Amino acid sequence: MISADIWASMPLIIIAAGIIFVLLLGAFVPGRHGTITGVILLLASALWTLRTPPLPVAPLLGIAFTPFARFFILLFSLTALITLLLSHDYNKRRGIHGEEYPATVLFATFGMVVLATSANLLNLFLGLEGLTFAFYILTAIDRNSPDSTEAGLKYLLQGAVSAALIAFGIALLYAGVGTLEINAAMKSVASGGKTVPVAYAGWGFLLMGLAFKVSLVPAHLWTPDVYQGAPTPVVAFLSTGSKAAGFAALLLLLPAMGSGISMLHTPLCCLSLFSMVLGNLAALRQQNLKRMLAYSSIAQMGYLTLALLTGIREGFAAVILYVVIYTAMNLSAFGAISSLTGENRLEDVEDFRGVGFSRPLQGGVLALSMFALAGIPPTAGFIGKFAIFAAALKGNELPLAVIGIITALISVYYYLRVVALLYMQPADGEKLSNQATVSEMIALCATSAVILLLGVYPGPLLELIDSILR
Amino acid sequence: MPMHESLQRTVAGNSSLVQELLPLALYSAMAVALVGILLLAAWWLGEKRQSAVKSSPYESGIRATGTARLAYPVPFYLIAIFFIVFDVEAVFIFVWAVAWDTLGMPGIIQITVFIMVLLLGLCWIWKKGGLDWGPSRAREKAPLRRPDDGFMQMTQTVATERGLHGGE
Repeated sequence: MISADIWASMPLIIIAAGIIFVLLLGAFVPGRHGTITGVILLLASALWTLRTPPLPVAPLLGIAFTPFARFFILLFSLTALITLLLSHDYNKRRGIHGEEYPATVLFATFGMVVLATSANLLNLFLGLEGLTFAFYILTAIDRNSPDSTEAGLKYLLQGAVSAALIAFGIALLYAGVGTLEINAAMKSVASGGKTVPVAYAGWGFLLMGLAFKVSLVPAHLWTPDVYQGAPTPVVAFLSTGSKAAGFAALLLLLPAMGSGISMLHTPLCCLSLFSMVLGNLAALRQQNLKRMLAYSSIAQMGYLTLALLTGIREGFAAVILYVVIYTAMNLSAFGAISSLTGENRLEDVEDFRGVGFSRPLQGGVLALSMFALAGIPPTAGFIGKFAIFAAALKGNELPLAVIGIITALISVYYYLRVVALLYMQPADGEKLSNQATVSEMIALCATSAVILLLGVYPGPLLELIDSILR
Repeated sequence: MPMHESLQRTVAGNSSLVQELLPLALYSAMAVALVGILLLAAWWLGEKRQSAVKSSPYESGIRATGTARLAYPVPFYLIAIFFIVFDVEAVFIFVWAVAWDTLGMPGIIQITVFIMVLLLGLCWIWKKGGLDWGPSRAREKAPLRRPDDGFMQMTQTVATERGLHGGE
């Protein structure tokens, strides 16, 4: 039994041992080895995950190495890997040193992996809080910038409230159904067409807490400030890894409810509707590119919720597909911004005037990610949006789908405004933007390749997603 | 009796939602009412005359002198935080210790891993100079980069104005 436990938790062990190793290495051998060590460790955990067949639940630890968990471990490891590649030179330029940074990135990944493998509500909570804790630190890690500190404080204060909501929600669920095991608990929340009221209340708290994690309106208020203030590679990780983790949590919980998901239909509808409308409309007015992307990510989360609330298999498949695509899109967008940021901060949309000519690679990647976020073919963004709205129509969510498509059309304006600034106007004078370094080039090329590849040939990924959904 | 069983029994006996949620509603109403009554009573019974001293922040009834923003050695906070970390470690070890025989071998392995992780954490703190009183060795070797937003300059000016030794 215990060896099966160890086998199932090997990716966790690799990353956990890696965190301690990176910290001690940094303390005893001065220098910047954190990034390369972290990259090797994440590759190791990803490879182990690829090579190991799925295993049933490890009862002692409350974790399950299911196909679903394997898929998400892979996604989280690769996201963290790209983040480390993006942040290595950014941190050098911005004067963020110390092994704490790669160690904290690894710790966030650890939290995500715990969450993806959890078969138990307690582990789910620990994973979710572990990763959020790491992000509190990462957000405030640029000690030279008051913005970063402000962002960290705002995130911490609101995050503490959401942690309380989630913990209380889980407690009420436990009071209602008498088990912490996810599948059993979710089944008995609404068994035989009758809901347990206390568990219903618990779901209310849990849903609000998770809405904070994935920044759905009305729990979105932290998002613009944190995105604007935090170091850009951290935002790249925060906007992809933590959002994917939030939806992984929802995907662990909601499909297990069976038809009981209908009791959450109205709250999910509201979250989705407000996020799509408010996110897209607020993004129209933003002058700061990172703030604009923050509101855009609120809107994108609204689309994901729209596919989620259909409660059908196609809907869940669309969520996973869009999470993968969204991860690639946001990593490229924020990766391009962070690699353009040198000594000077480059943040206003106006700062990017003509950058497409002076910095062809980063400008091109930024433009590609904007096209993808706007959902223009042949990028992956189109495939993702198509899958979402197709699932919504199939799940009889016509009004919401129509509103979603209209808001998506509005969003094209603010995404393409960035592209227009990048290419339509010549650069005025000497640009202060930074040249991409080798590691940044690798990261940007990898994410752009994913965007293009999934845009023209999504077949294998769709089959894979279909096979991991129970 | 576990709470969920009693609740399920309630549901089985009388499935009315109102009945089940009545205690919660009563409790909430009482909590709100109590706070409201206290606030109203304080407002109603209180003296409403205003004076400069009265509207100043309460300082044990004595007129405040000077500012509350004193420079305080940062190591106090560091030591306090380290203490909390290792104090909580003790709490977990006690919990394991009272049930060590029922937990058996897996329990021993888990608590060993837990203690080892915190021990390595202690090594790290020690090596990084977190336990030294004063600026850490790492900080002395690589001084903080000049800030770009005037944040440190601002705090430094404030500190010099107050006759304190500021910044680096």
